[in-house]
Amino acid sequence: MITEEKIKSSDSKLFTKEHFENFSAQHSWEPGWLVDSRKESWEKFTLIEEDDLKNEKWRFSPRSRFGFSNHQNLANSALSPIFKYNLDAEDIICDSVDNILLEQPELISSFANASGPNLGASQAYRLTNTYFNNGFFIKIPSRHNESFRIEINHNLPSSNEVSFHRNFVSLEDFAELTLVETFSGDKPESNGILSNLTHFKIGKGAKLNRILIQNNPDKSTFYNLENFDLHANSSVVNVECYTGSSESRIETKGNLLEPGSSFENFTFISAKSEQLFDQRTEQHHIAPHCTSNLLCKNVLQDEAKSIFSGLIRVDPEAQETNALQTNRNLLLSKEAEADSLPGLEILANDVRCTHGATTSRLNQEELFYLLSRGIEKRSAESLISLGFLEEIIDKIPDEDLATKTRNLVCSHFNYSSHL
Amino acid sequence: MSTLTVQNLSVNIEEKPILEDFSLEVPNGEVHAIMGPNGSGKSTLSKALAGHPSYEVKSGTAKLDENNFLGLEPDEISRAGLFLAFQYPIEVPGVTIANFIRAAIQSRMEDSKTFKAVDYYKELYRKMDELGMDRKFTSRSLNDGFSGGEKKRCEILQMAMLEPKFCILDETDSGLDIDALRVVSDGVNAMRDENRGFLVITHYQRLLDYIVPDKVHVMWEGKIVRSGDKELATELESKGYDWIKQEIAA
Amino acid sequence: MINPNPIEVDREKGNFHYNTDYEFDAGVGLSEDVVKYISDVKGEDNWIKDFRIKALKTFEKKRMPTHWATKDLENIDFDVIRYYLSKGQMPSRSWEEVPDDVKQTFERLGIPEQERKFLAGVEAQFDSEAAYSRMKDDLAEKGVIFVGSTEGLKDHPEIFKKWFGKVIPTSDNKFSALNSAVFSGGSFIYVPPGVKLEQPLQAYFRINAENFGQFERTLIIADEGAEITYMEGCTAPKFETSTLHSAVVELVALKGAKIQYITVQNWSNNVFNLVTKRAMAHEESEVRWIDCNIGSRLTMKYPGVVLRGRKARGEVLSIALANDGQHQDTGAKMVHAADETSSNVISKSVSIGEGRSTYRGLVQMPGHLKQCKNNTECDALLINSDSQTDTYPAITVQGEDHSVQHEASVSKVSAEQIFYMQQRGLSEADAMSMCVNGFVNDLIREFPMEYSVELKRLIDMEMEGSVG
Repeated sequence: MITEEKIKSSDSKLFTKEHFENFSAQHSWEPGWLVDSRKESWEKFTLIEEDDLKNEKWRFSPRSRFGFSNHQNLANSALSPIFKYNLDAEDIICDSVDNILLEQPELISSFANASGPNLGASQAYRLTNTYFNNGFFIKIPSRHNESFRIEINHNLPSSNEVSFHRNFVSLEDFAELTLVETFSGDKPESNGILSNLTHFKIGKGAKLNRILIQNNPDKSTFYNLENFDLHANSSVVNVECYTGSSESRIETKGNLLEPGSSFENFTFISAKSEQLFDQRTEQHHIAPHCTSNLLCKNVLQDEAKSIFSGLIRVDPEAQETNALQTNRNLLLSKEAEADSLPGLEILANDVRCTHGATTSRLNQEELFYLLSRGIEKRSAESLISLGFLEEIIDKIPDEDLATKTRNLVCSHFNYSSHL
Repeated sequence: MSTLTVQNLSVNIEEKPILEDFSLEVPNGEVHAIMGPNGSGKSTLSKALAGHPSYEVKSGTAKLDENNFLGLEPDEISRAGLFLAFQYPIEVPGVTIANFIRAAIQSRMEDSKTFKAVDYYKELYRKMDELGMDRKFTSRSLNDGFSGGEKKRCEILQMAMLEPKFCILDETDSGLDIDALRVVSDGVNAMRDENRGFLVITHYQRLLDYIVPDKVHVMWEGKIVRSGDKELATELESKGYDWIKQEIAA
Repeated sequence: MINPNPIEVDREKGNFHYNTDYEFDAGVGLSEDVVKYISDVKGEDNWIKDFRIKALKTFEKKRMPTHWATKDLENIDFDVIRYYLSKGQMPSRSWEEVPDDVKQTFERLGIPEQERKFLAGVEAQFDSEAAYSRMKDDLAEKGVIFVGSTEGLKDHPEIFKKWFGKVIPTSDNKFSALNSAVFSGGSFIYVPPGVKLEQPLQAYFRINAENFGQFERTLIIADEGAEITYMEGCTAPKFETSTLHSAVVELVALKGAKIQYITVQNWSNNVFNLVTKRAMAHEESEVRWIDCNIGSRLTMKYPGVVLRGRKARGEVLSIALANDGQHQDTGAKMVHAADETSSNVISKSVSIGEGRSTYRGLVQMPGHLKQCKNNTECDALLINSDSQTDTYPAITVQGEDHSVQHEASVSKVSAEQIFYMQQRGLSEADAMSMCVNGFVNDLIREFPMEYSVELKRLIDMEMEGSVG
């Protein structure tokens, strides 16, 4: 409970009733349902018990690194996100949430009851729903044989500031979209926090290719909460690349609501120094005849730590489910640590579900081979690690983007040579 | 006795008709061959006769001697004397060949009777030697990790051990090299008997040089369209299936 | 690893006793008085009594682990359980009262006649004296100590006190605390250095009224270079009136020693079977847990090995069968605490009807260690559409020198497999049984032969009625 004592002891005025009421007053122009929704989220936030935070959904995670107590201000909403696209069609909607709320609020109201991934980050979730002051809204209409591309850049806020973004993506039946999101900060020393919540609604037969590249400032904190709802025969291919932020909590949930849908999620994490990546995923098979495939590859150096928790949940009606989940970790130093919690909850019997997790070090034979050709150790490690992550980078459909990503990973290995 | 009589058999797969009004008689002790292009219904015929649950029999009868066996459970059909050598034998991990065949034999015996392990293995090894199978195969899991040729040999071994009244060989020659083909054919020929019938389903004529049939039938779109002696097979091979197509159209 | 020779036991002999002298009735429910009473009746030294009382306090303080385990645990009513039964209080029934299906099971499993009465609760004890006397002499000659927990702590404290409660501390979990307060019965075994026992020791050898109990405490110490195989349980259903079994098993393998612990559990369907089992493996030693769980309403058991010495090796081989109304919640815990240690876990579960099987695993490898390896494989087979399975492994690895591999799969017996086997004459039920036996075959082979034959039959029996 957020009690009087707690408020006094923590530094953040974000938790105070006063702050919320000020914020509400400034946002009173918003449609009624949204005002109510923010209030409800605020109330639920105040009811979060300490205990709730200790539970299974935070297993192995150093909770103390994830908090909002030290941050005082909400960032200016105009600075992020920034769009880049070339869309001529009039019926495509792609705009900031602020603008949509001003001009066509009824578009967002259909998302009023959208849920998040609900995989444990309740504080971040409630605060985001309370205080989100921007985000993007995309709606792609039914259009057979035409595929669209949108690029969005999210900017991390300045030091001691928090940004809460809430995004909505709706693909109507048979729509196709490639969405590229990059996360970065123009202030490299910033310790700002970005909490990003995205709801994806994928209509029948629709296809989404989504690429996320996170290269946040070193000291920042990042929450990425995303929920994908897939309808009949739709498909999602989601590729995520993480290299930045001091700590990141990533929650990704794919809900296969109707038959014939396919959810594929490919992630890599390249971690160094004391970075912490806490990734929780869920593949939820609700309808029969659906497929899901999740591959997460992590390379860890120095004292970095990663936690991967992936659950495949199959409901009793979801017969003929085909679900795969793989986590591969490469540890390059004595202090690096990888925790894996792959999980299965299977209530239907006509299914094929497998999961696998391996943690290992560099293949010594490969290393020796490179060394014997004169390549020095750090470079060899970098080459082999890149090779390890290539399987994910390969899923990026854009060659330019893929090359940028490879360079990003390489930079993780070269930094120490500048010391 | 082992006459197979199929009359007016119509079979659907998921509502789609595959066999329509199919009729065939294989008199006692004869070996008949069925040839036909892909999609003509050859595999459907063998699976439907064996009682596969995915194949809906819409109408017709199939008799072994005078007993109609359509509609019985697959294991009842087996015990009635029908054997199907599968085109794609299934892998059953953890179940050894030796135990599997023994269980199959046991299922045909009355509950009170058993047979001695010693006698069983003696017979098993003898038949394996004849088929050129390494005796170590007995402890391997059924079809698990077997090559195509090994799987087919395993089918023939089972046939030899179970001594059925009527055998359907579903494309037994696919995936076999000449040596394997010879060995498998020898195994089949060794079982030819005046009280045992065979229906050999094949795509290529080659097998029929080794297992010489008494009669050859050609299947097309779910029916038999031509019958003849083994010369028909040779003619079909040289002229191709288009020839049949034309013959039918005419 | 250890390949024990089959035991030659003269099963025809054996007298049956049924004591009728009554002692103080400890009643139902748990309190400090009950704990003190248990200690007094056994004539224990004060240090043991104190140990028990402290454990009781820990038990009362700890909460039920329902935040991760099943809520079914809340159905245990601690107040109605009898925590100690003296010899004369063992409930029993006449042979006529034994249910027919239990009698049939004995028949089909081929259980020897005299054991049936004991298992069915008709006789209160199975007298081991006559049947196993030869073996006991042999053991005594080798310097092997094989006694119950009470005698172990009383007559040989210099051996057992050192390790008692060290492998599994009282506070490890709520149920180890409970056991530490009220334990009774179980086996305390010590094998001197270099002694390699060829024949497995069985819990049977020490059967008396106490071992009938629900709170057994076992401690096995294999000194340097010693080898022992221990077996407990049996395939036949055992007559139980108590609904809570909370045992603790501690194993200590000193340098170069080998311990193999085999359990077959087939308690009746109203029993909560919550067991804490752990081994401490020293340098170059090997510990193997071989576990088969078929009965009980809820079994929670996670055999573990703490690999404390260099090159130690731990293994858990587990088969679980969950039928209607059953939940088998099993797994393995491998804690690597020395260099070059290796662990292997193979778990196979079959869920039938509405049965539910759960795997929970823990593999831990810290960064200061070198060259540790783990391999885990857990496979689940679901037979009916209502069958359920869950898998929750947790793997934490630090450091650049280790290699860990985990694989899990869930599947069912395919219709094509069933059809293939039916075409060879096997009925649908037989075909299904054969597939299930094939699925667990690799692990069944690790059990001593007499068990494996019974196990296969037991699995066949469980499969009946699951088809159609």
